[in-house]
Amino acid sequence: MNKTYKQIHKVCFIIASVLFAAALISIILAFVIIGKASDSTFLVRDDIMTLRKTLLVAGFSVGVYAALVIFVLNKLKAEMSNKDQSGFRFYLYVVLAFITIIDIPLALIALKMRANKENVEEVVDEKESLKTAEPETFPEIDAGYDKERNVVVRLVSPRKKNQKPYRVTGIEDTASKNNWKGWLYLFPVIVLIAVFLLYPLINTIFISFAKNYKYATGKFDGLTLENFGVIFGVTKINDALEQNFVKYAVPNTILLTFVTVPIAIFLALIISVALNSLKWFQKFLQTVFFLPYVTNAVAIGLVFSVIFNKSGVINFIFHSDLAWVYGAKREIAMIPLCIYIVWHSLPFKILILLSGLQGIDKQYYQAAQIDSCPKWKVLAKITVPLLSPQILYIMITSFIAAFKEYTSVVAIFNGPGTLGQNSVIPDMETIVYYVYSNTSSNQTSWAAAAAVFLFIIILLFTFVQFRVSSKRVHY
Amino acid sequence: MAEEVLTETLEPKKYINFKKVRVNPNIVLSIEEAGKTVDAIKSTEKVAKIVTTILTYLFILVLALTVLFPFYWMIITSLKQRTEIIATNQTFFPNIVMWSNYSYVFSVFDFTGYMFNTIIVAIFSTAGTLLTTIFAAFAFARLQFKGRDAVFAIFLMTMMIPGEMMVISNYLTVSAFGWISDQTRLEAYLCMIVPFVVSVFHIYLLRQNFKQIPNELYLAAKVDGKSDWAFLWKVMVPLAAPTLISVTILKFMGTWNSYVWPQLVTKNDDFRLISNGLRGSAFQDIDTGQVEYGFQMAASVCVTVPLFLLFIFFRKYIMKGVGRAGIKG
Repeated sequence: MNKTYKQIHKVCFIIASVLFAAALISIILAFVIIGKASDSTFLVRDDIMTLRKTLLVAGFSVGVYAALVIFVLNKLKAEMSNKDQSGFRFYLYVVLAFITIIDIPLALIALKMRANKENVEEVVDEKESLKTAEPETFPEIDAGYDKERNVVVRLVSPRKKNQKPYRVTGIEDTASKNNWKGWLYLFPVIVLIAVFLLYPLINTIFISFAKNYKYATGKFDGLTLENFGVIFGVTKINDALEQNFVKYAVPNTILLTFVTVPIAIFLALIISVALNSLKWFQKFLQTVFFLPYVTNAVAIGLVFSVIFNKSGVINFIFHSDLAWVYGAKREIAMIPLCIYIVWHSLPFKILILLSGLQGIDKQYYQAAQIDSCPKWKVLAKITVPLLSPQILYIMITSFIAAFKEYTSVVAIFNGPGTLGQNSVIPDMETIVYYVYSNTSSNQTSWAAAAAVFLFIIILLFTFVQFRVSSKRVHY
Repeated sequence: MAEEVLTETLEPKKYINFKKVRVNPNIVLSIEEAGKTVDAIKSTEKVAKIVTTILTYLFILVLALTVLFPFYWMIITSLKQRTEIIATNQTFFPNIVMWSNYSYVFSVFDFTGYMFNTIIVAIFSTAGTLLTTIFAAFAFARLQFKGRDAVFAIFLMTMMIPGEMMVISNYLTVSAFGWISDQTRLEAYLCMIVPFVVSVFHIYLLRQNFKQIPNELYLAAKVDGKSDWAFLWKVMVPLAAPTLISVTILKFMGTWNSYVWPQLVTKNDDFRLISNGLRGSAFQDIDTGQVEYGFQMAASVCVTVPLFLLFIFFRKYIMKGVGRAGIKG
């Protein structure tokens, strides 16, 4: 068994090396041609350029392909010598995937190039047939610029569908109608998105349904809904209920969201309206309010935990003796967290709202002034409705951001609870915190289930807000 | 001139006092500013305006100081002695300025090491992102091929997926690549760079920018015999430079702030990024387990200052890049 694999491996390796060498040679050739092309006549140059392009594209793609194959083969070899066959299948899949992914554009390129070549010949044929066979029925037409009609005339192959003897067009952008090239440009992005965005999405959903999933080996015993039962505290696991998710993660997240988002939006609205009415130092103050955006979240979180320390400045100012962070009660520990989140999320909102405010037509305000409308009414009846697209936008983004709160908890509390890393009860945990802490511990399926839950909530929020917006938002 | 004459002739008559004039017994005219002269109204308005201006400035100033307070406290604390930090009487300026806190950051806490890692990861992931973003944006904005709009729609939809969703599987993927077990420095960097060299949002941003470049430029380049490739690098990229700078800076800041993923994938403290270092255990006294806040704050200042410098120099680009998102609404 192992021997045949080794032989296949050897053959593959040789083929890949030959391909790689060929690719290198073709790329070098392409570069040599550039030098030659510059001093040829126009027509010949055109042909040479196509050749060069073909060589470059083919050389590059084959080279990348061969390099990948060599890389994977090397990995395979190491895997085989380990005699551990678990990872083996994975690499086989990777090889297959790469071959298919890279072969498709290659095949497309090859097909397209042949088609292009035929097209060129067709046009030449057309021209000849026009001149010799039926000079009466067709008017004498040359490709090029027609002065009388002010159009560019292009000859097109009669074998094309919907054929016409000639087509009169304006300037037609034929060069950008390049099928295979678009895919070539998109190729790296598509591969990366497929590997690191789409595959994980599907895989995470899959893991959330897998029973006894072992992330080290990728083994599992069938599909089940148990994981969701476990995280919602319905299904017993080892005769005990897992309650951290329902008891701490979800309530904390919801609380944070519904406290911080309205406060932050309200504050941002007031600040940006006030900022907008300023005459002097407006730019400077705007910059000051933007500063929290350009900070390291962890660094400033540390500062907040110092400020809210038991012997910190907040307790000193208010002459209190509360434990805000370390060893605090859950309700009290929420306060610095909320303040931090609001502080950190203000700049983005102010920026968006301010740019919205500056786009509002001044005539509305002048009309209101003529009617001697009170200021609060101007704010409620003119500013807020006209700002509603921006407000909706920041509402959606900040709701989603608040549901994903994680770094702030780590930065301030240094752990899942108010006792830092030693906390037994994860009373400050958020949903995302739950996901991460279970990813690195061995409960990947629970983490996946929680992530799917988060995903669904975020999708729901987005849809509901778009629904509402279509009715309420004033555009 | 005419107005002056008018007011002079009206002067002896003063203004009609509407309180005393009954036009019709059924209709009561009431005017708020009755009995006041125009000058009086103007002056009260002026006073009201000055008062509101002062009040707004006060309000904004107070809020601005609140926003700035954490920064101030960070700097102050970084210069304080340990005893002063935990004293019951907090001081708003350090009694003894402790510059030695900073020397600790550079000597005991491996600040330069973390910084090196962060900068390497930031440079490579930014370069990768720029490259993929330019290619994809060019394909979406300029080239025409079947399925382009469908692919773009799928790309946009992926923006709705929370990144947390991907972390689990991406962790499994990079460990399947063999980058987690027996991690070398290169593998650690690969873990932190490769999954982040593509950003759909930035592609969207750049595509919008590329679309604004007029078609005529493209056709002119074609007439001059330039290829797509040359057009992309010689015309489109220079024209979209402001957006590209915004993308670069935002990406750089993103790496500077990234905490979770590096924490998850790196197995050795030497390979971690600056945020992980800050939240690590380097500032805990080994004997007492208490946190040395002075050192911690000094390190925080060292992390924050480069970002501020970046912000001062590229304020326009950062704010534009962040604000660009709002146009969608």
